[in-house]
Amino acid sequence: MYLRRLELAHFRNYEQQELPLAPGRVLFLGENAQGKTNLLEAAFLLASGRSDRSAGDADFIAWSQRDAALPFARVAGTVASDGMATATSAALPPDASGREDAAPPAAARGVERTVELTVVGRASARGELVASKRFKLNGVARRASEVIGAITAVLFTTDDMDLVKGSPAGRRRYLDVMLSQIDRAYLRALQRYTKVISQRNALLRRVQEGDARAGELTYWDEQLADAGARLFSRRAEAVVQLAAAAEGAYARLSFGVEPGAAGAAADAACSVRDERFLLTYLPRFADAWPAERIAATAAEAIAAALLTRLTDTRARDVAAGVTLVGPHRDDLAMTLGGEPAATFASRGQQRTAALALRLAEARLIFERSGERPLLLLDDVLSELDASRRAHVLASLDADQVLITSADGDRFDAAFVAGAQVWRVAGGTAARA
Amino acid sequence: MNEATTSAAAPVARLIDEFHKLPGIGPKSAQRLTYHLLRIPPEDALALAQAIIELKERTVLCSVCQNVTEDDPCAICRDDSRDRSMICVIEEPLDILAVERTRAFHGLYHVLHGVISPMDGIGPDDLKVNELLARLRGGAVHEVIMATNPNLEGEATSMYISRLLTPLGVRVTRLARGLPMGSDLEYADDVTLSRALENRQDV
Ligand SMILES: [Zn+2]
Repeated sequence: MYLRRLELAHFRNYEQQELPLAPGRVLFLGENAQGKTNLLEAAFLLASGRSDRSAGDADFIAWSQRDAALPFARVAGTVASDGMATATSAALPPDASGREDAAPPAAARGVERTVELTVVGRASARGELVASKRFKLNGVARRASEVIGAITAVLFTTDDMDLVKGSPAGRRRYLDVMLSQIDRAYLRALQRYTKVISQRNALLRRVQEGDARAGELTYWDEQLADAGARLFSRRAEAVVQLAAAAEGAYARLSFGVEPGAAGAAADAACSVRDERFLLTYLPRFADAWPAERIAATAAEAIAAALLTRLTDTRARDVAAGVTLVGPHRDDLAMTLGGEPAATFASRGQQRTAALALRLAEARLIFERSGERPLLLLDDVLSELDASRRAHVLASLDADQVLITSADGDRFDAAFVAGAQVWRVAGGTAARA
Repeated sequence: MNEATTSAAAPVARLIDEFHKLPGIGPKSAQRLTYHLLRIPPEDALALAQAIIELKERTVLCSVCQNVTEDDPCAICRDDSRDRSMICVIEEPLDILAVERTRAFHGLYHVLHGVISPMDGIGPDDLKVNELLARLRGGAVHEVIMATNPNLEGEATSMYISRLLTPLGVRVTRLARGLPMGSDLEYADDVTLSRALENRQDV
């Protein structure tokens, strides 16, 4: 798919901006802090409903709106797809047993889709601006869970190295953002799970302090087990697919060959074997439940086992005041040539691993949804040397790539010539 | 106190602050309401003040159903034509009005005054649950309809109460979840649609 049109109103440093965009490569060039990243953020918000750049939704609203009676920010995007790759029809309702299938948003599979996000602000009792998000899909108000994924996107940023060497929370977010776009049931389970964990942890502390009875945990345990099992199950399944894609992407980025290549590429293939990039899912459940077993078990059976475990470890949870097992504490393990990538790999290898994870994300979204996601490259090319940059550009399989860069002149002429180029300055983007 | 109130006369600022404490009233609305009251005839302002005083002084909770009432027991609990074998359990007094508008329910009510939400420090003991259990002891009630909201906290409350009631031999039911009448299937959100499928009926 490609973003045919992006419109911003009172969004960050943009007042009113319309961008008719072309398929293929789109370059946003300009100095720092002019608003290049805000454009990619807007596109990513429409796809995922998320941004990692702001503490609260009120940050999206332009300063000029802060004193307005009804301050708001609006972002709208229309994607078009060639229709060739529309592999799955998702217009079917969940089957009669009530099981939601893993299909992307219903009725969202036309040739064109428009997603609109309005962030409405109001003053809180303490006088600060608080905001809430409202979504529309093709002009009809919808809940977020029905709109997320109508546009799919993968965001590459210079912070992506944190996927390799940062905290587990970042790796869980990586899985969540990806799976939420392609699996509505996952998103719904995640939303429910997040609320259940907050309520259960609050109840654990109340039990600890003698303000509540342990028996009150039963309902929350059941809900946690039900939603948690769905997350475990879908993550385990996805990481198998993801790991294969990431291993291949790493080899291509580093050596320009596939793992297992022979003949002329044998030398390179040898290095590939020594530097194999392996991704493994580490569910936080129980020793008896590694990723392989979860992947091979039905969600209902996982839920039953998780409920038993929660009951068995209840005393521990009460003592800790937090829930100690469950997908909210999952992680991904990454190794390079058998060694942990976070500690043993060089900076260059970590950067390549992070890029491989993003490329794998794009691959998974394509395989699951039948459409190539938008690729959003925020300043990531400038930090690569010429050969890696060439490998990265050659690895991008997309209908459209939106790229921000502060130094347009470092792109070779052929690259710029084939791209739609925008100059961004002071919250305005104009065709160069 | 924000900038707008510091420069106003003290009684004006005080009322603005009081309005601002109310749900759904922002600082701008609080100012508008206050200046509106400044302009209306004194008797209208006194009537409003009196209404607020009476609201607090002349209402109690019905000792049977916990609804807000002037006379205890409330009009519904006193009404002999109502079916005393059924109790509809709801979260807030306002929900009674919603159910009554349907004219489809002729039993009695029980107001919980909230839902279980550990994050907000609300457990079963903070709700009118024991009062409900007490009502069932007589054995005259055959069915309890749980009509809490279909969200996590509403369901937690409904489930908790159901588990307390089932051993007492009372039939416990809950509202069916389905499509709103007059709505277009195409525009139904898919949570509602899948719930409606789960709760499908023979025709
Ligand atoms: Zn009453």
